[in-house]
Amino acid sequence: MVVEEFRSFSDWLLTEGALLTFVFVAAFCAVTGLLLGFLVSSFRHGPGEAFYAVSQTVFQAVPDAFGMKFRRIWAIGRLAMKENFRLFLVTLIIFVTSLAVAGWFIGGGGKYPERSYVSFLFFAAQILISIFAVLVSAFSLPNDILSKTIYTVVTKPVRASEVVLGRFVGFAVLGTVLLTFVGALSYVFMVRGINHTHELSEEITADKWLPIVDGFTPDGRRPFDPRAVFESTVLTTRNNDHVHRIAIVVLDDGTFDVVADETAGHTHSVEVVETDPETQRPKVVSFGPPRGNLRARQPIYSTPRGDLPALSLTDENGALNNGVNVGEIWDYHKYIQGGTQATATFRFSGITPQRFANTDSVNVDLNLAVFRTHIGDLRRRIEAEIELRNVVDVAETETAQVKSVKIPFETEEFKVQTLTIPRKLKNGTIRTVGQPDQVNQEFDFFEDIVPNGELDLVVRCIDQKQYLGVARASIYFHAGDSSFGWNYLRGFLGIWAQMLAIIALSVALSTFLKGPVVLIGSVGVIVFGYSAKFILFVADSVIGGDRLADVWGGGPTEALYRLVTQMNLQHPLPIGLGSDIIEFVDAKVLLPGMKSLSFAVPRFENFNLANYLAYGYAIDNHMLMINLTTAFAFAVGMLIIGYFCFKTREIAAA
Amino acid sequence: MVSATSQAPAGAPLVQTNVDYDPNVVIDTQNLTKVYSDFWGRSKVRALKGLDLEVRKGEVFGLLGPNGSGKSTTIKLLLGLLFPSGGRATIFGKPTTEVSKNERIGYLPEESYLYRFLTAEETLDFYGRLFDMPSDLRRERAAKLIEKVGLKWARRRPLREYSKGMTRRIGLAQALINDPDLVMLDEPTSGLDPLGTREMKDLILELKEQGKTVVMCSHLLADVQDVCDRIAILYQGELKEMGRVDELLEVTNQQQIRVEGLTKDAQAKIAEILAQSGGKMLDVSSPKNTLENLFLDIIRESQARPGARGIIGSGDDNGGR
Repeated sequence: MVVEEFRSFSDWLLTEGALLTFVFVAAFCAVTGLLLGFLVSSFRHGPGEAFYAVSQTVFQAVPDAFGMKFRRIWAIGRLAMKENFRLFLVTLIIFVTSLAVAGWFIGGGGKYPERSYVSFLFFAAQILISIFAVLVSAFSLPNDILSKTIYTVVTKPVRASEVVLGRFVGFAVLGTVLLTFVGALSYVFMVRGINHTHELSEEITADKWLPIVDGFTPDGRRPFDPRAVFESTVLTTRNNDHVHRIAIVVLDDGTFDVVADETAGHTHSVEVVETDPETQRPKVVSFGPPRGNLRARQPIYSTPRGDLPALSLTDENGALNNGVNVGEIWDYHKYIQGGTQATATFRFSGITPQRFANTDSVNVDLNLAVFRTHIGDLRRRIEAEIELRNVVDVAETETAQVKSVKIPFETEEFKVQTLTIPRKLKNGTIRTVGQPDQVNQEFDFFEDIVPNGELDLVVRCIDQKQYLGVARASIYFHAGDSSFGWNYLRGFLGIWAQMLAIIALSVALSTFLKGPVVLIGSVGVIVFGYSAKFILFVADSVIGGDRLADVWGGGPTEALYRLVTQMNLQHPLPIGLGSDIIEFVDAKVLLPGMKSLSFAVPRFENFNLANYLAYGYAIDNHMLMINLTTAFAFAVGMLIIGYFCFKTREIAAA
Repeated sequence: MVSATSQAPAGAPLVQTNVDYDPNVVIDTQNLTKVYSDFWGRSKVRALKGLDLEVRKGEVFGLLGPNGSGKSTTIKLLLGLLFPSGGRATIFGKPTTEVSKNERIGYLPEESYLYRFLTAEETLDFYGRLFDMPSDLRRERAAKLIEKVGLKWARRRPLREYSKGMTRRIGLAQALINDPDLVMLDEPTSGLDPLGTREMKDLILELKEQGKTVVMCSHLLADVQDVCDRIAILYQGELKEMGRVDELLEVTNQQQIRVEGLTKDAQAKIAEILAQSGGKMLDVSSPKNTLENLFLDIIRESQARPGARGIIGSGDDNGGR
């Protein structure tokens, strides 16, 4: 899985300036609101009366905030729920229908069926919940005002804050219940769709077990399990659009174990039902449910250590560099050259026995890319090695010992490859300043390599003229798996956070706009939120003046001009006053405004956490916290705006 | 228990901070003005022009006027649904924009603007919650009010299935859910059958007996005449007449004599020989106009001579009606 952002919640809040941005946006909104209110009121009643009216509105906000009663908020919330219960049912029926139809197309086939399931289900849930959230909250209050039912509410001792918050609570509860149903149904749908078993397609007779010689099958193929001594030519029955092969593995105690290969992203437990009395090899086996496709790996990624980055690369001479450019435009992976001393060093911390439940081995997952300059031996994969090295300050004491162990491996591309590192390591080296290296040492992984929880993991590519691509997320320690169901629930928390943000937005807009306008406005803000990154990109390049280098077509006005005149994006605008005006409007008015606005709107695409689930990773706590905090902060801001708009609105003048 | 809780609920007592507040004056407006403006703030309609009004505790006060005269605007201004363009208005000594005043007010709009997907019980429960009433009190009041307005048999039917008369009844019930001190009724008998109209008028008189203040707008002049102590007549946003109903309807330059047991001869000569006829004089008084005639006279006069008019309640001579 591509992971580009490794930020902790505190970094995001403080270092990256999320808190500061919130304070700035809030202050800007407050000042703008006061100024706008004063101007409108001055226009109508004169400045003196306007000052009194604005002051009164601001000061009344205090009792309106602290004088709210839960019973009134809940009454309005319940009313909002009852009012929209029919839409709730319709949405649920649409979702169930879409599941029924999706079942025909998704199926269990494909290389990673769980990715198809998760992607579809999260997309469907996100779209459906967003539409539901906008529809319920966009029309409710405007319809109340239009039908004048609001008259019988606001003539009771109900505060404007209670009207706004009550509706938000009602829609949020209804949406949460809907999301719970959608989540539960989709989870059951996915698990049922993925769950399956197999049977043997035929009986395994003695001639069906093929011995592995020199690491190859008789047909020259590598066995799917390097420990295999026999592979059966008998396949399983085809279920969920795939079959498995099975192999015999000799365990350390000399007993046999039968394993199924990994196909469609999973394998199966295999139980021997009957053994051949002559060869003592398994004859009849049965298969358990799929394993390995619905996972929630808990990765421990490398982290910066002091001034040192989480990942640093050196070239063949040992000098720091940014890796070799192999010609890819997207530079997610940095490449190191094989057959040289070029390295990629990952710096880890927090590798403690407790995080690995004191197991006898530790797993390191690799997700490496390979760039081949020649095909080479097709049967061989690219060879590489990792070196595990303890972290000591050599400068501090001359007796400091650097203990390291090298572990060779063959890269497996396009999949998560797991290296199991035994706790008791052999062939280690101790390097002490001014002394000869001590080789063939035995180490305890936790006591010798990571006594302080810190570790350097150095990767080298062995094969000459081949390149190994690494990114910070390419190598991580795998501290077990958490429950997939729990992870699924956390994934839906992202959608929930988005739903809250949308409801708050629509409720706020509905306090001063008519239903259809709220609908359009909400959709506009959501699209703006989804496009915020692009808008920033365009704004920076156009305002910066280097637009030819970055963006074709210029800002919105220029884009509109090109659209109308059907002008090619790469064709420069004709020189003249018109072009100057277009560029001025884009660079000085629209894009600066849009850029400022992009800081006030959540990045809605960040709420989709489906990739974590699809690729089998536990959702990062920090990412979840960032999402929830963003949604709550946005919702609070919107509700405050909604309160002031409703408070200053003449209900009966509509 | 119902009558004992007409004030603010426990924990949220109404605090009177207005030192000039006279507890006998429930509604007080001074130069209350409302101008409807367009989007750009330009004046469109001057709906209310400097209304001075005082409604005292325990009286039934009627607001009369043709369509567009400013009755509804006045009610909406008093309830805080509109903001005044000028002047001031207080209810129970508090500004009309203050939410806490609503704890003592019951309001029946001209149409029963209620949530049609709720049943009668749910409706009253909802509005009871808005007054922050505990559940047992809500249940008790809802049951009593549903019985009082005669909807016990339909209490679990959604309001969308109600006739207009039934909706008016449940609308009245919601207006009384908090046992208010001030009841504002906008066209209370609209949509009711004759029996329902009679019951509504009886209810208004019952509320008056309980010491409540009632303010009502109505086009049905006979209803107003039957129940109102005082009335105000508005025309084109201006107050044209205000005073006690019996005083306003009195024809002051005429007398009427009610007699009993006269012979046919005496009846023929009654104008000249009333004193010698031997009949027993029961009453000598001024004849009463009807409110309808009064209303039409004022409207015609206002159309003929626009501008402010002498008001009987303010001490001006209203001439011989």
